[in-house]
Amino acid sequence: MIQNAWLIPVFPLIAFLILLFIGRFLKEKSSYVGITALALSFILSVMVLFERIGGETYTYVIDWITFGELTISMGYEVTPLNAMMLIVVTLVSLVVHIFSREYMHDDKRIHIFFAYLGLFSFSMLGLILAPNVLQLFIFWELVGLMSYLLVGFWYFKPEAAAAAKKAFLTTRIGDVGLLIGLVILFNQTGSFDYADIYAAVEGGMINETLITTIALLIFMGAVGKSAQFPLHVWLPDAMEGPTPVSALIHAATMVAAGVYLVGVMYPLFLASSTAMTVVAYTGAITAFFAATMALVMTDIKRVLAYSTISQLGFMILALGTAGYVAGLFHLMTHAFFKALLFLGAGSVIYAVHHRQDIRDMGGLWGKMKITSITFLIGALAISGVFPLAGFWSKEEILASALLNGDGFLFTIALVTAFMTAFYMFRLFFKTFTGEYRGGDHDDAHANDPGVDAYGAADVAEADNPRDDSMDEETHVSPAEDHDHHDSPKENSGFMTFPLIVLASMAVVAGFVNLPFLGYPLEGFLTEGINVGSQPHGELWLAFVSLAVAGAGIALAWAMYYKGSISEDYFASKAPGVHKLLINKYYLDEVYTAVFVRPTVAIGRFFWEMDKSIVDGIVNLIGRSTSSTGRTAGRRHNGQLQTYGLVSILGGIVVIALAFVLRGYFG
Amino acid sequence: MVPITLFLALAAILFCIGLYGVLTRRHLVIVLASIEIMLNSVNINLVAFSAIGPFANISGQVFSLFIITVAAAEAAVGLAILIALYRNRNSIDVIKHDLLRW
Amino acid sequence: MTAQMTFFIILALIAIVSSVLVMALRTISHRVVSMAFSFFAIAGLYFLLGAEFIGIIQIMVYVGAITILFVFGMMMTEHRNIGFGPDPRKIQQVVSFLGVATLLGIMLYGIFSMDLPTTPQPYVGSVEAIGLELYGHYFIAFLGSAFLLTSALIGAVVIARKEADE
Repeated sequence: MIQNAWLIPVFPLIAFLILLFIGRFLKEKSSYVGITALALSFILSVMVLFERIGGETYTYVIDWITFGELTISMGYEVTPLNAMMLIVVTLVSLVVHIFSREYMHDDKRIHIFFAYLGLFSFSMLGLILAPNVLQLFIFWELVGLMSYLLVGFWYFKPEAAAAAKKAFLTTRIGDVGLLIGLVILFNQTGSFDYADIYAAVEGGMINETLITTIALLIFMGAVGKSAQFPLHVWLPDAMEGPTPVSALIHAATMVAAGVYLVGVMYPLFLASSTAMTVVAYTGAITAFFAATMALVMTDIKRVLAYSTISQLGFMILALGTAGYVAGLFHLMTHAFFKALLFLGAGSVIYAVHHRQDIRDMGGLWGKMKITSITFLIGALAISGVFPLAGFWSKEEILASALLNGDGFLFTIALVTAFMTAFYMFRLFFKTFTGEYRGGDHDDAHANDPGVDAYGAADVAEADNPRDDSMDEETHVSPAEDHDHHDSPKENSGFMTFPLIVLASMAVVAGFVNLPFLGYPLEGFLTEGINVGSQPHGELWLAFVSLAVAGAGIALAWAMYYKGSISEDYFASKAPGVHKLLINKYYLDEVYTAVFVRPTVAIGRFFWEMDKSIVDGIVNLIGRSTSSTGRTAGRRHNGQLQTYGLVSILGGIVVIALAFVLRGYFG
Repeated sequence: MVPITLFLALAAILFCIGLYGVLTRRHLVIVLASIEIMLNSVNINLVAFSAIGPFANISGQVFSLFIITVAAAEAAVGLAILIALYRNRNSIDVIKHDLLRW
Repeated sequence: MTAQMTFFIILALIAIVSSVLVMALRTISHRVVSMAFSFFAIAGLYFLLGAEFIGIIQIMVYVGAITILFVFGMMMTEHRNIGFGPDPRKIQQVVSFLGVATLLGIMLYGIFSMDLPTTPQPYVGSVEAIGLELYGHYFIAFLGSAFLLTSALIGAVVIARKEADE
């Protein structure tokens, strides 16, 4: 089966092609195409994983381009790392497809949505299977494109269009670095293949400064894609996309690509201690700052977005402190529980009529049993509560920060873990406990993608008359679907089933690397790749980690459930800090002032230059040409004899010149 | 014998008369006639060089034969075009045929 | 002043004057006749040069055939009304005259400044010599001119006839 691993990305691609051509006739049924394709991919991934566990790394490459003595190959490769990633991506993608079937069923462009999801899955799986960095880069860019398309799926919302552009441009900054890094790497090693690169690095063929440069440039790509500080600004804005997309891209797969990139390039990073330090500190800073911002956000998806950034920071921190397995282990577990949390949030948003502000929620515990329980599991998992998935992976990250990093990194990691628990349970308590605060609100909410979507869909209808045929039967506006003053209720099985699947994964995923069993995942992942020895924490560290998580949860409980500490206690104590956090450290403003404005000013300057000087010259040439043309055109009277006369005169001039200048005719 | 320069001068004069006619006459038949005169002047040159030139030989006369042939063909086709033109546009005034402008 | 010189001057004058008359006469038929005279005079010059064959061909083709063709062309078109009204292109005429006069001046200057020897006896090209040359050296060109004539014949017929059918 492992030989057929290439089929895994092909199934979503086929789904994409099918939906591209006949999606408009399938409408809602197009979801089944996507679900089927992803289910096949998932089954295949599981088979590949089991085969890989017992077997060898399988590589299949063909020559793609040959120039001179260099050959660039393409193909696919099944290593332990990407076998694991295949499972993660296909599973998350599959449940997101199932979830979207219900979540998006009112949307006019549902078939396009599923086509995008298929293409996105294809790109991500292709990225994972790539046997060399060039192929990885191609799929990397494709993933970036899909992110743009999916974030901007509701392109008629100005915020969504802006967010899509922001996501694309911000990640592009990192991609430039990545590309430069890859070019230098190719220049040094003469190959894009992972194996050759590892060999070159370990054989000491590249000097140290250059390795550091390359590693940092490649890390830039990861910073952009994985939303690390200072390029993290796109991820919260990307929450303008549909919630399933947030779950798929911005929680589980695309942002994981950056971490994955560091993972596959790990020997390169290991060879440079400077690069490792930069990576570790970037991760730590990101984790900390994102967590602080998550403390104060009131939009349910934005809290999760900052939480994602923070957790990605954790992974990067782990990788930067030699915790290769810890980082990738957390990548896997995080994918499950973050997808779970996002889909849970999507379920809530759907139930409360596309409202996203947690101040409008509350008291959903009794009304949405399955969503509540699974969300609780997700929150516990991300907080790192024994024995859920997050506990095991986070404990390892703390261990690697402690053993290989310095005290600063460890402290930051602990504080961030505390904050993680706090903001997750703040979110949980605000959303699911207390009184329902959304009922008497007016429905016209500023942040309401659903309503906007229908408004624009009606506009889009006019452009696309074919949509009208089924309109009367199928077009059910959300207002008719659920009565607004009805209290929220549990969603159908299409939404709850993915939650249950992911919740169970969030529970069990941590067991693959149990210390009692001798860290099976570690043995699997470190096979065939030299990443150094892996740090393992002692027992007391687990208790510290648990205690920190418990403290965070307790504080949240006290503030938002019990009410024994006022909710704005901290905000009133330090209003400046609170304001700073609410405004996301003013980073957007700073970027606008430092980068955007000067760029615009320079652009304007050159535009003016262009308009007055360059255009002036061009216009002058153009105008003189056209006036010459007009003058000559008036001579152009169609009279054969005039033409003859002119050519004769020309001939006479030539003869006269020859006569005068060259002295012909004697 | 008459010096060859006189023949050449005669040919030049005839050529220029023909050229002037081509450039200024409005009647298409006369334009064609002017072209014939120009061709004739060339023939005079050829025959003169063939007979009394510095390297007198037969080639000039052969060439003048070819030119006469071409002139005959040209006259036939030219007049056929003239007739067709006249039938279509009902005029043989050169000024009226300014279709080249379009 | 030899007899040859006398003949040359007479024939040259006839040729030039009748050529000018082709441009200057008012009636189109007179112009065509004047053109025939010009051709005649040129044929006379050929005889003077000892190129009898070319002279005869000149008379047969130009005077006999081409002039007749012109007469037909003249008859089939607008031959009564020769005047097209006042010529709107005065500048054209003046510039043409100046240009052509310049050209003539340059050519005459060039011709007379050439130092060409005067041959006492003209080279006489016999018909036999022409025939040998034509069928030997210039055979391909000869065939080519045959094709040219054939296609000109067909072309003339087609061009003149096609429009008539419609």
